[in-house]
Amino acid sequence: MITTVLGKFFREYSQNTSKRLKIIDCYLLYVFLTGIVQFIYCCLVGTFPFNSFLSGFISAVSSFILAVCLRLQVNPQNKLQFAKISPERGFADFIVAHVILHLVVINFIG
Amino acid sequence: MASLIKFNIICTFGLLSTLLATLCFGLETPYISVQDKERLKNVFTVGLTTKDAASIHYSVLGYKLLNQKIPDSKEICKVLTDSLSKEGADTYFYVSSTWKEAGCPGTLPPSISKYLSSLLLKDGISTSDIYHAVEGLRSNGQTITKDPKIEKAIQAAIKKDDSVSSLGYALHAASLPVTDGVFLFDRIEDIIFQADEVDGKYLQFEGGLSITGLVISGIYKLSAKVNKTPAISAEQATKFSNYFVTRKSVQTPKGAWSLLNVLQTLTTNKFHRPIVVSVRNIDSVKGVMSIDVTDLLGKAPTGSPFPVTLDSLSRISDNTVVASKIKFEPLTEKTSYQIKFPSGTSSGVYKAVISVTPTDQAIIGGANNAIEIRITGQLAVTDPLLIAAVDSDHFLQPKYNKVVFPEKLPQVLEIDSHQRLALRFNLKEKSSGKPIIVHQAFVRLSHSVTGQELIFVSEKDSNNGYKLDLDIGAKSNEFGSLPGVYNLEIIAGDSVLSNSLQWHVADAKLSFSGDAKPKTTQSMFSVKPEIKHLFREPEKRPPVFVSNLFTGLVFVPLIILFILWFKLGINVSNFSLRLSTLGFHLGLGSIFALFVCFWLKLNMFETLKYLLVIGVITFLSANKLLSSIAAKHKS
Amino acid sequence: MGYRHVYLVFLSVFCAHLALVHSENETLVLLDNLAIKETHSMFFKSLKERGYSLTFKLADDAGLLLSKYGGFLYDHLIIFAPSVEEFGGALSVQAVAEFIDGGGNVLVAGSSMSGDILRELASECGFEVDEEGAAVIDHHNYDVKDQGKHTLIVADPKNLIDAPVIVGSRNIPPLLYQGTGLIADSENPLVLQLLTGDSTSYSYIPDQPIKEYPHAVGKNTLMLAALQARNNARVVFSGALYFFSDEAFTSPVQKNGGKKFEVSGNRDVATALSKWVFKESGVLRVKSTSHHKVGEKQPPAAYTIMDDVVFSLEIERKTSTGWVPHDADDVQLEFVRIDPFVRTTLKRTKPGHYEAVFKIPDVYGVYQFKVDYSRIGYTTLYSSTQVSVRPLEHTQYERFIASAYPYYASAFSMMFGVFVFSFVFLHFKDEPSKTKQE
Repeated sequence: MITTVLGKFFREYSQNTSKRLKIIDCYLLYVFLTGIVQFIYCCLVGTFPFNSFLSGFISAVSSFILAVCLRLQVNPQNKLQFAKISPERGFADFIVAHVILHLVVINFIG
Repeated sequence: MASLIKFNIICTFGLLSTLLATLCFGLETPYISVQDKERLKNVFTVGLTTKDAASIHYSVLGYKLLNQKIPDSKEICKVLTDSLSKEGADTYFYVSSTWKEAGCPGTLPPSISKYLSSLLLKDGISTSDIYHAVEGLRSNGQTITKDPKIEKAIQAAIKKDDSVSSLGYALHAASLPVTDGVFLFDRIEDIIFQADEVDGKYLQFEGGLSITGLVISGIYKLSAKVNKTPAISAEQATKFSNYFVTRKSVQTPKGAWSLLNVLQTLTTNKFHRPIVVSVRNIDSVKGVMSIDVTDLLGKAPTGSPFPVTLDSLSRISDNTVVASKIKFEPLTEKTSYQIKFPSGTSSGVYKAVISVTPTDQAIIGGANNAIEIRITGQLAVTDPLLIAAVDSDHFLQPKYNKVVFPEKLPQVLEIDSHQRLALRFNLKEKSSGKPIIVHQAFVRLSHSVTGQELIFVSEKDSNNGYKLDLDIGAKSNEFGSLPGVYNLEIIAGDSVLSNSLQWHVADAKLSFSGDAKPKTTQSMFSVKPEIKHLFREPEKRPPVFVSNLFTGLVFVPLIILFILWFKLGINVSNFSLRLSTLGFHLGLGSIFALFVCFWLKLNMFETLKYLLVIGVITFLSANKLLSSIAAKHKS
Repeated sequence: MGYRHVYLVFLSVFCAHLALVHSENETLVLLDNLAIKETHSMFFKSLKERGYSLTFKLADDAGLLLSKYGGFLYDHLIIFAPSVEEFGGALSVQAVAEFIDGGGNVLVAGSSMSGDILRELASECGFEVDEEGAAVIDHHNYDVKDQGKHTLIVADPKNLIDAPVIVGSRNIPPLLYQGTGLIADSENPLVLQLLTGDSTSYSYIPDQPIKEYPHAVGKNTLMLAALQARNNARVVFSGALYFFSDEAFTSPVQKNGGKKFEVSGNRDVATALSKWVFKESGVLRVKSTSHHKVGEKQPPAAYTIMDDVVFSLEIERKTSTGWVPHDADDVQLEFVRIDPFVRTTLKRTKPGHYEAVFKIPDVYGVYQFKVDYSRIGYTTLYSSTQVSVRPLEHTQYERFIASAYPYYASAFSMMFGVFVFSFVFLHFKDEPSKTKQE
C-alpha cells in the first residue's frame, strides 16, 4: 500500500517538477543530510561544546529553511502569491540572508 | 611602719616573747648574726665611697663598731676637707668626729672650733646644734666642762621644740660633761610615753629607726651618767629591742650605724640588757634540740652559761603538754644549750616555752620565751592497703585485696561505671608505730597511655586511717569517659615528715558507659589542614577518532549533492564572463573567505569593516547581474 | 633676632631630647615597700642594663598615674606588690585592664599573702589565685633551705612550657619557688601555663588540714602563667615574688636527699621571661607581601580564574640588634572568599622569604590572601591582601576543540554549498520543456 503511494509520488515528482526545482531539491537533501549527521553525532557524544553544536546545527537548519523559501518563491506555480517578488529578487534575499546567517554562525561557533 | 604589719606572723604569745617570724630572707635570727654584720659592713663600704660627709661619718663609725679596719683613708680625708666649705654645725660635727677615727693626719683648722664655740653662745639654737657643737669641739681636742649656760640653752631649746627628735638630741647633749643631766633625766618617762606600740610586740618612735635609736641610746647614756635606772620598764626595753632587730635589713649608712650603735648600748649598759633565745638545731632522729641564748649582737651575755629551763612543750594542734620543767645542758659554745625530748615525743609542730634565769637583774627578756619548733618524724606503711572494686548496690562487706608496701597488686583490677573503687589504708609513724594524720593523703589515677591524671583527696576514717570510695559512674565526666588502664598511686606527705610516700599500688582498668569525650579543642597554635580546591571536572570528550569520523561523514552529503546534480545533468551555460558576474561570485566567495578569517583570527569589528567594503561591491555586482538575468527572462 | 635663633635652637634640642628620652621602655614599677628595690636589685639592674627606664613607686602612692590626655605614660608595668590592699592614685584593676587593652605589657608577682586586688587583677587576665595564706606545697620536691613547711619548692625545668621564646632553654638547673598557687582555665586558648608543679604538689594553707578539695592539685598547680592578648599585649603572672629575688637568683638548689646545684636556674628564666613580656623577643612582623602571576613581576589589576599565582611574604623577627629574617616551616597562606578555598603551606626560599604557587579556583569573586600565623610565644602575624578574580573573558575560552570538528566542517560545508549553488542556480540554462511540447 505504502509502496504504491510512494512509487506514484516519485513518478509524479520526476515528471512534473522542473529541473530548476530539482536542483534546489538536491541541495535541500544535502543540507538535510548534513544536519542529520550532526544530530546523530551530538546524540552519541553529548553536547560538549554546546555553542559549536548549536552553531553547526542551526547553520544547517537555517540553510534548509532559506532554501525552502527560495524554492517557494522560484516555483512558477506560486507566481500568483509572489506577484511583486521576482525570482531574482528572491535569490538576492536568499544570498543576503545567507551572508548574515554565516556571519552569526561563525561568531557563535567559537 | 607599714612593712612591720606585713610580716608573716605565725602566732603571738605573751608580752615578753621575742618571737620573730621568719622573713623571706632565709633563716632569720632574732639577733644580729654574722651574716647580718657582713651585710651591714657592705652598706658602710658603699657609704665610704660617697662624697657626702654625713655618710662617711656614719660609715667610718660603723666600721669601728664592727671592729673593721678603715680602708684607704686619703680619699676619705679629702672628702672631709672638701665638705668643710659648707658651713654648719652638723657638717663640722661630722668632719670633726670622723677626722681622728678615719686616721686623717693633722688637725682641723681652728676656725671650725671658733665657729662651733660662737654657735653655742647664740640664742635659740636647737638641741641638735648644741649636741653637734659640743661634740664637735670635744672631738677637736677641746676639754668640755660644766657650763650652766649650755644647760639653760638645752632647756630653752626643748621648751621651744619638744619633738622626739629634739628630745633625743637633748638627751645626748645632756650626757656630755657640760651638764649633770638631772633636769632631763626626770623627763624620760614622758619621752617613752610618746612611743607607738605595734602588734603588742614592738615599740618605736615616729620617724623610724634613726630617731628611735637616737632616743634609746640617749636615755641609757644619760642614765649611765646620772647613775640611776631610767623610767623605762624591762618590758618596754624588750619591745624596743624587738623593733630594732626587725630593722636589720636597713640599707643606708645612717640607719645601719644607728642600729649598731643602739644595739651596742643595749648590750653594754648596766640597766637593761635584753637576751634572746633562738633555736640552733633540732635533730629529730636523736630527739635532741639545741638553742642559743645570746645578746642582741649575737654574743654570749656576760655571766653565761645561765640556768635554762624548758617550762613546757605543748603540741600546737591540740594544746596537749608533752613535757615540762626540763633543764637544758650547756654546751661548749658559751651561747648554746641542749635538751633531749622525752622519749615517745611524736613528730609535729610544738610550742616550746623556755626560761632563762640569770642572776644579774639587768639581763632581761629571759622569761617565758615561746618558740615554735618542728619535730620531724618519718612515715611508714606497716599495714597492708585494702583495695577492691565494689558494686554500687552491694552493702555487704566487700572482699578486699591486700597490697603490702612497697609491692603492687599483681592483677589488674577491673572496674566499670556501675562500681565503686574502695581503698583503705593507714599511715604510721616510724618511731612510735602510732597512726598519724598527714596533711597530704591523695590518690592519683593516671591513664597509662595518655598520661591524663586525676587526683582525689582521701578522707579520714574512724580508725585514724584513710579511705576513698570512688563512684566511677558519677565521676565519668571528670575522666572524660576515657576507658583504659589507669595507674593508681598513693601520694602522702606532711611538713613534719622527713620522708614522703609515692606508692604505685595497683593498675585499674576502668570502663565507662558513654563514649569517650576527648577534651581536645583545636589549639589556635597548631597547623590547620591544607585545602586544595576541587576544580570542576571538564566534560568528557569523545575520542579524536570519532570526531574525525563524523567530520568525514559531514562531507559525504556534499559528495552526494554533486553526484545527484551530475545525474540530473546540470550546466552553467548561461555563464557569461561579465564584470558583474565575476564581481558577484568573487565577492560572495571572498565574503565566505572573510568569514573563515574571522573564525581564525579577526574579531567582529574588523570583520564588519571588511564585510562592509566587500559587501558593497558584491551588492552592486549582484544588482547588475540579477537585473540582467531578470531582463533576459522577461524577453 | 638673636634671641629668636637661640629660642629655636633650644626648642629643637628640647624636642630631640624628648624624642630620645621616650624610647619604648618607660616602665612603672609598683612596690609594697622600698626594701623590695634592694632585695630584687639584680633583676632591676638587668632591666636597666637592657635600656629600660624604671620608675619606682609604692603601690598605694596617691600620685599614681598610668595615662594622661588619652595616652599612656608608660609602656610596661611591673607590679611587685603582693600584699597591696588598694592601688593608689588613679590606678585600679580597671585602669590596668585598660592599659593591657591599649597594648601595655604587665609583669605581676604575688605571694602567699596576696591581697584581694591582685586576685581581681589575675581573674581579669584569666588566672585564679589561691586564697590568702595558701602556698604551693610539695612534700616530695622541697629545698633543704625550706623552713619546715615544705613551701620552698624545687621546680624541675622539664615542667616549663616547651617554648624557648618565652622561658629560654630548659637545660638549666632546677628553679626555686615559694609562693601561692594559680590555676588557669584550660579552655582559654590565650593563657599559657609556663611553669606547672609536679604531680605531687598542691596549693593549700600549710597549717590547716585539708577539708575540701585544694584549689590546685598535681600538674594543674600553676606557678608561672602568661597571657598574650589578641592585641599582642603580654601579661606574666608569678605566684611568688621570691622567684625574682636576689636570694633566689644566687642560691644553690638542693632537693632533700638530692643532687646539689651551685646556682638555681631562676635568673635564666627570669631574664627570658622579662625579655618576652616586654616584647624584646618573640615579636614578628611582616616586612612585605607581593603577589603576581607566574612569569610576571607586577600584580595585575585583576586575576582571572584558573591563573597560576605566586604569593610571597617576608617575615622579620625582633632581636636585640634589630629586625632579622625569621625562619619557620609552618606558615600557611589562605585564599579566602568568606571561606577559604585554598590553604597551602608557604615554602621558604631564602631566609625570611616565603613563597607559595597555586592555581586560582575556577570560582570568581573578591578574594583575600590571608596569612594568619600564631604560634606559642610569638605575636600574631596577620596580613590580608584583597584581590579580585574575574571570570574568563569571552575571548579566553577554548577554541578549535577536536570534538567540535564535525560542526566546524558542517558550517563551512554550508558556506561552500551556497557558493556552488549560486553558480548553478544563476547560470543554469533550462532546456525547453518536453512536456509542453507533447
